[in-house]
Amino acid sequence: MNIELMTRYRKNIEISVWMLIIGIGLFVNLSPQPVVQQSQTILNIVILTVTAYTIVYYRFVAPRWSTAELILSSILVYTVFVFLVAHFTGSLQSVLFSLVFVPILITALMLGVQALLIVVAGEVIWLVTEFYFYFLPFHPGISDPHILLWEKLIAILLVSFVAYDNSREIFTRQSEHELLEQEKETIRLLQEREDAILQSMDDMVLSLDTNKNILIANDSFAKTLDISQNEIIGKNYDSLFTIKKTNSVGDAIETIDLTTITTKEVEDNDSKETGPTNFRLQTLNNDKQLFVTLAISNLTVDLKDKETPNDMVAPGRVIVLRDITEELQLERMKIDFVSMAAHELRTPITAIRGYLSALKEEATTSLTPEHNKFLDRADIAANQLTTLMENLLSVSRIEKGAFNLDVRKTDWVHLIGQRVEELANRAIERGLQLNWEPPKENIPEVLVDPLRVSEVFNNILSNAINYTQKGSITISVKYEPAEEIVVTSISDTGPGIPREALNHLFEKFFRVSGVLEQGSKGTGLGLYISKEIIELHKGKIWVESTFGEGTTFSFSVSTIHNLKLRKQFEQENAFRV
Amino acid sequence: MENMPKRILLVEDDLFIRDLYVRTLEQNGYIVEIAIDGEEGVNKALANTPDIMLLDIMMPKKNGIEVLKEIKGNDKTKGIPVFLLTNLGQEGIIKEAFNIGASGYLLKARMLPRDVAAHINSYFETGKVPSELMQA
Repeated sequence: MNIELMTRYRKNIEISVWMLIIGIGLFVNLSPQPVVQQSQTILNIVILTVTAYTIVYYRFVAPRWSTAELILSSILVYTVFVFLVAHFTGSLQSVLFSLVFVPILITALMLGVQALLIVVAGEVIWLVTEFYFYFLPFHPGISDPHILLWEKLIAILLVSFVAYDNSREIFTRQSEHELLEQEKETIRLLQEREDAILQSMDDMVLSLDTNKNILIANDSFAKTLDISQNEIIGKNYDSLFTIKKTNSVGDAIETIDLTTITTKEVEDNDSKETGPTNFRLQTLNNDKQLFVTLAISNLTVDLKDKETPNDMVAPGRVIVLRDITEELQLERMKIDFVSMAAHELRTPITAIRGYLSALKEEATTSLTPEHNKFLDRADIAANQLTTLMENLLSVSRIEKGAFNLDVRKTDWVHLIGQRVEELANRAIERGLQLNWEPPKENIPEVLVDPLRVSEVFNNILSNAINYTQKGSITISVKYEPAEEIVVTSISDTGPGIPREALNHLFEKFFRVSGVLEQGSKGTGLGLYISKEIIELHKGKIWVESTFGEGTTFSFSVSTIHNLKLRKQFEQENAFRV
Repeated sequence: MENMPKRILLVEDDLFIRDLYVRTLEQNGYIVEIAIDGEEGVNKALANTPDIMLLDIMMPKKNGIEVLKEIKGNDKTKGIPVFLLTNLGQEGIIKEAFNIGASGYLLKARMLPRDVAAHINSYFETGKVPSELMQA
């Protein structure tokens, strides 16, 4: 049996019981043969109680009834009552006539839109009753056949007013009830939808208050912890998991507090020293480890009971954690693959270069000039391959965050002088003038890894030599005491770099278009590596170029007087004296 | 004694590299003995006490670091100067090797066999390890 049917039965039973009581009461009260006085009083109390109950009942329950139900039941109740009164008193004029207002009142209470119709119906019934008393031969006898018109009018007015008032009340209640139901339904649908979105997200979503208590945790998060959402909500997150910052190789650096870490801190985590930083989620109950990215937003609406004003001032935050464990593994595999491949290629390349150089040393005289040219070209290609592999390895180490510096106090002018000397022959071979004037001023020692910075200088100078067809290359070193840096510039009179290429020059695998066709053999990695190395030294590298006139590359390194940097290098374990 | 040819123990598993180094070093007047893995390297060092040892790192049976530890841990051989034959990207290993007692390292990929020979000549002439072979 469904609930609706049960409610209807209950209503019917209630109405029947109520009518029965009223009927008995009237019979006792209004009978021409009065019964015992005491029972009359008791019964009157019962009748009044039931009536009061009925009023309350219809006031609060009736709104749920349909209009048809209301009309039918009210007509029924009214009719029965009037007939009973008339039958037992023989008149509608008895002293207890006022009781007729009880069912009228009740009827009115039950009224829907058709309030007036009901009143009219009641009047018709009244008239019919009177007709029954006055004109039918079997009427029970009339003590007073005159019904005063004014009494009837008052009754009708009263009934009309009560009917109007109550129908309005019921109507309001009905519409309120419907609105409420509608609103509830809308909210429920909205909640369901929001919940569905939240629960079906692959990302883990958490909402925390300022005391680290979990307000919301979605399904994905519950699955990670292997416990139900109900067990998570309300708990302090310290008891469930920890979030640690990690470096590129996955070692934990420090535990972070999700309630205080700022979005900026989360985003600013990639540093040159430690490589890309991630976060590691460590669950405490099932000992899982996931690498995650964090997205943090502050709560603007409080999730706790809105009626408690104190909670409104305690904001929390929403944290979205994305599991990137797999991506990281793939990324690492990719880097490892490059570095492994380069490692494996190195031994055969070393052998090739070794044998080529042996051949060049020992067999030159017995070969034709053309064969010697072949040998030279094979040697050049093998050297290029070596450079390419070294560059690939450097890039792979930079991206792994494993590119370490070995910083020393270095005599910069001496170092540059040595490097210039090494490459001077190549410049001369290409018919270029190489200008290197050590500065007259005294230049303090600098904080560099001589090997790495030499790489940068060699790379820029080699580029200048390779790309300059004629003219000169000028190297200058300048000390800037205000910033405690030394700026080294390499200017050439080469073809220059197109404006649109300037911004991309230091990007990985970027080649200036058109250069490839000219037969140069760069890897597109040199300047990227140079930039990374200079930035590891906390220096800057930049380029200025006028297309068709020449290019100047400059980079800065810090002097030993930059104590802050020195300390930083010491902390990073990069500085050895 | 001055003119006695120096004896070099070359521990390297790659045949071609080994052959190249042997040729070049012999052309430079050294007596070169070879070992094709770490274990043989330790045995030959113990048996012959060479004047210098060139030691590859990635080798079968015993790697260069293990060999170096044994050489430096044995009174008979700990005086032998050991130069590592390394590749790029092994800075960590090179640092460890210096701590154990390596005298220097030679980057195979950067140096031709004649450069290696030149560095060893310079070492025997001056008795000092060229500074660029010391940087790790």
